[in-house]
Amino acid sequence: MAKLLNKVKGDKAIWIVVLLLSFISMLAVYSSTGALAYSKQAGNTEYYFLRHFSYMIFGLLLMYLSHLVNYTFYGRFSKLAMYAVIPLLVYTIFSGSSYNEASRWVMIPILKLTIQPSDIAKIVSIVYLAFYLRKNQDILDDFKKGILPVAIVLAIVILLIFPANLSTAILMIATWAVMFFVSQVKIKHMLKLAGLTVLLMFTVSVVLMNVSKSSRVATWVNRVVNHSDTENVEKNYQKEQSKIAIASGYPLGKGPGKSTQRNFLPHPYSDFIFAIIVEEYGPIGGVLILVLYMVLLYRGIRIAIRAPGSFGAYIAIGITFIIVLQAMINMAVAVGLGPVTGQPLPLVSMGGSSFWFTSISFGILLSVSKEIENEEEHSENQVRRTENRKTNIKKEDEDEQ
Amino acid sequence: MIRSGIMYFAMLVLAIGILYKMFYIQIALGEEYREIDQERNVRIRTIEAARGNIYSDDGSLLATSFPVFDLYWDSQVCPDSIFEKDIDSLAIYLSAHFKDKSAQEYKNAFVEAKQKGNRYYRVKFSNIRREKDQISYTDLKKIKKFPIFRRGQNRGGFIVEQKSIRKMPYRLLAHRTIGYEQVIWDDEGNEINKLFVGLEGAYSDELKGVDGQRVEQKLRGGAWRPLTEENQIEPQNGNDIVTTINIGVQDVAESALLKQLDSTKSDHGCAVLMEVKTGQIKAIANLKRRSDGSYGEDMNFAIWESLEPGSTFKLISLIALLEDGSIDTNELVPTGKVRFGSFEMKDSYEYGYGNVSLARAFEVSSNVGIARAVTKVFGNRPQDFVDLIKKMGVGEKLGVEIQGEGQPLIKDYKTQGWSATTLPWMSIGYEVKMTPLQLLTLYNAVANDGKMVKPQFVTHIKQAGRVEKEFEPVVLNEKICSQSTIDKVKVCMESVVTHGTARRLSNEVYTIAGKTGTAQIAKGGSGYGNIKGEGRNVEYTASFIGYFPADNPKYTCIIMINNPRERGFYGAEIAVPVFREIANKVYAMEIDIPKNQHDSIRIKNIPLIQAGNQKDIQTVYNYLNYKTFTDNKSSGWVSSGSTIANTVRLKSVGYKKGVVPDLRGMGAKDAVFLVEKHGYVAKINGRGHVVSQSILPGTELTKGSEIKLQLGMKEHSFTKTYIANDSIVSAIVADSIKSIEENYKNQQQ
Repeated sequence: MAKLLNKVKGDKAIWIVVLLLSFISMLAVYSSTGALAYSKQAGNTEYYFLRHFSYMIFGLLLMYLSHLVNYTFYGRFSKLAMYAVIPLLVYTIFSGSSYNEASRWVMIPILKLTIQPSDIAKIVSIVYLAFYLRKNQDILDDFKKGILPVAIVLAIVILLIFPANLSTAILMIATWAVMFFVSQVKIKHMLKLAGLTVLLMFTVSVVLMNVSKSSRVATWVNRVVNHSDTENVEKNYQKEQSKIAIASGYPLGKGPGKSTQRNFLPHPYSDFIFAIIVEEYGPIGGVLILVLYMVLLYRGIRIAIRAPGSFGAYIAIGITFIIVLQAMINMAVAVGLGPVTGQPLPLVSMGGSSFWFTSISFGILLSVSKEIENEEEHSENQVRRTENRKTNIKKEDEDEQ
Repeated sequence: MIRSGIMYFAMLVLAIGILYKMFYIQIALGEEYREIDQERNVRIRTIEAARGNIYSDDGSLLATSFPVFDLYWDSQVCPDSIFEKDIDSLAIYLSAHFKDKSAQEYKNAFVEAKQKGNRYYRVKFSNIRREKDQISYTDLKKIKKFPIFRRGQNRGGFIVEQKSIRKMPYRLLAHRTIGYEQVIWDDEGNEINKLFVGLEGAYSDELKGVDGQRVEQKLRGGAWRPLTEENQIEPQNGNDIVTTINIGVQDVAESALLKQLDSTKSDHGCAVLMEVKTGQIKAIANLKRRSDGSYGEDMNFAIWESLEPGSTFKLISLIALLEDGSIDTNELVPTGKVRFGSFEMKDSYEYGYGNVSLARAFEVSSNVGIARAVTKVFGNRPQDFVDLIKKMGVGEKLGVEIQGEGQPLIKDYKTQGWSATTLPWMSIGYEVKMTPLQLLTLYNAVANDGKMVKPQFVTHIKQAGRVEKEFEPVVLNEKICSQSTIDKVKVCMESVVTHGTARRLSNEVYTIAGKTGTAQIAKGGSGYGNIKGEGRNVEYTASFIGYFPADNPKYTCIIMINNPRERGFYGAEIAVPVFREIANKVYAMEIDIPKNQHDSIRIKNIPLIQAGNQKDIQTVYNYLNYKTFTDNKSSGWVSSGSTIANTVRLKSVGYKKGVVPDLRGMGAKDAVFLVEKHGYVAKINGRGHVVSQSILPGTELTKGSEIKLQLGMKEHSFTKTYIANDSIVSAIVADSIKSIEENYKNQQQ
């Protein structure tokens, strides 16, 4: 055990937050999968719990393994990975399996596992952008030469994601914007980018809506762009149910496993898990979750500031931001601050692949943090050595005297 | 650095926004939403699966569960317009169906429920204990068609809840062995535990099935109401078990035992009948006297009660003696009285029979004879005696699946409790303990030529009529002793019936072999008291164990009656009559329906022909593999006469001109032929045989008249049933034919 702990490097606070969130996740998932277990697994409530638990263990293993790798390694492969993600996204649009009425998922043939390619796009694009920003630091002031090439690549990614999954697209755009922002790109350029993005997305939406009504495209457009009335009714219903869950958790919560709203909320183990946590553990549960994510953000920014190079800093900012912002969006939806989006709560919601990609993201973040520790150790050693030399010289001086 | 700070600050604002909204919902909007939540309180209720049935060996139901229903009504579901339109007819239907309240009373109750907004009004509740207050599935099917109720739960508010009732159609018969749910109470009368006893308990995992689940919603008053019409998970019915119990034999055993217990005012008793080859328990009766003097199946003595067997243990001693080989059954032993240490052992006939052979000592159940033989042979090496007993398989539990089997006791030499007098007393069935079932199993092994099979209670486990598991007989000991010993003890046991203590079992029809037993019941630690027994302050156990028919044993049976208070106490007096009654009835039943010959008895139909051309008829019968014999071979027209098994007697039929013949049962061709031959005109309607004719037979009718014939397919009324394939019957047939033919010949001469 001690040996293993020695091998675990990187920011201990982040490790602790990750483990705490995973623990909360187990409790909340076990409680909220009850209804699903009844309808799908003949009342075997352990089924989803055990599945989630095994995914979680595997996720933590992935996190551990990816944090052992030096983060600069990820940078070198980012371009290649980026060019591989784009065809995967194209494939997803045309043959992905539908879940929650949107074509977001791809089935991996042998493992029989569905993954969301946009989850891969998130992490790859962050590393890719961070690597680009670091490499072209000197020409970022030049919009055409420095900004536009990367913007085009990112625009392609966004075009492939936003029609099916608008909220993820916005989440990614916001994260990239923050990365541009901290890499000292001029505000002028960023405004230009923002304008272009809005223009592009608007144009594409209009084109899609007017595209021939036949075939796959039409149904796809219908599904994605036009929200039917029944869907709106359904979303309002979900919001109301979520509010009931949150309100009934006051002041001390109903207690673990005592949620009743899990029977009424759709996807209580994913989209509305925050509501279930508040229902069962009261406002304290809600505050705890929020605090944990804010601690995560703080530690992430701290890593960024102390990172040995700007590549590490950009990665740290990007990863931290996208995870925390996604968490905030999920919780905002649960309390009714935003439209229902379907973003899971990172590390807490049930789900295999998204949990794993979040874990890998944390692994990369911790890899940066590990380098900082190495560096500090190194410099401390240097300081010690210099001090030693100084004292030695002093001694010698005294001896001479 | 600054830009990172800005970012952190922005996120912090978002987090505070979420927190604010959370508390806003909880505090400002809280009441309203919490109220909705209260209404929606749900729980998941377990729906018990219907327990499987328990069957007897021939498929009669020994225990069965069936569903009954409770009916409720949610007054807020049904629209007012429909309620007003249909409530009168609903009330009339309900009143007519249940006949417990008038239609007006029903209506008033519904109207009141509606006014109060009751969402869980109890319309009718099935009382588990009172059959006439139970709503069966058939009832429910009718009730579901009543006005308003036919709209279901979501549109009519009709709520149905199911529960299950267990019934034992044969009530007392083998009640304890079949089992039931027993509730255990603590001193304050609280229910601590519920458990199934008997086979119900042993096979509970098979019988119980898989429970279903149903989501229920809490109502304001605190009651719970099913949320949906369907169960979330349908319960799966339990498996059925097929037992070895035969209702006919069980009935005989139970009533014979009851009769004897009642007339002797005995405390309790048991009777168990086992099939020799398979170990199947065909009957197991356990009766105990209750405080009011009646008897009930309250404890499974046969399985549980480990007692000193007394004289029936002498068989085991005899086997041990013969197995050891140093003496034989013709060895002379003393009888009467003998002193072992400071204790005196006496025979029940204390003057004794003089010096008799060991076999004779066994026949008359001489304590002294057996004990002297055992002490003579094993006096110096008692452990050999114990080892020989244990080698037979005595002294260990049988491992029957029904809980609570009594622990047998066979002491080892020089262990605690072994004294100088242990060996002689052990040899006559004291200082050892066995349960009735364990004794029976040993006797059955002797009947089965040394092969000891485990008592079997269940043969099959079935699900919806399909066999899921089948149980084969379990052999406990392939050979309990040598064949020569078996042969010798069998002879001795037969002599017990022919010349010994169980003479009253002797009969001319079939032979019985067995051993009587009379044991004094040890009272506490004070031993057996004075054997002389002043008056009747000693308690006895009277028993008989035997098998029949002795030459080819089919059944082994034990009768044990504890503490008879009247009419004697000897096994021969008390237990033997019960054995006799059971054995006689079982033997008679076996003759009525020969075992394994059910298949050979086939009921067949033989077609009868009303009238027709003799040659044609013979051809037809021969073609169909029936035999015919005829009174008059020259007769042209014949009809089927009496039948013997598959043989038909053909009678010649004479017809008079000018008189209408009986055409009923004839085929169209023959009928028309005969009608035209008489000079009448036939008019046919329909197909098949003649069912009716327009002019009655025997009527005088002028030529050229028309007779209408109605044909039909009622051939069943023209057949006769007979038992086929029985060699005895064939012999009788041959005899009868012969005598009839001779009669006829004589008449002719």
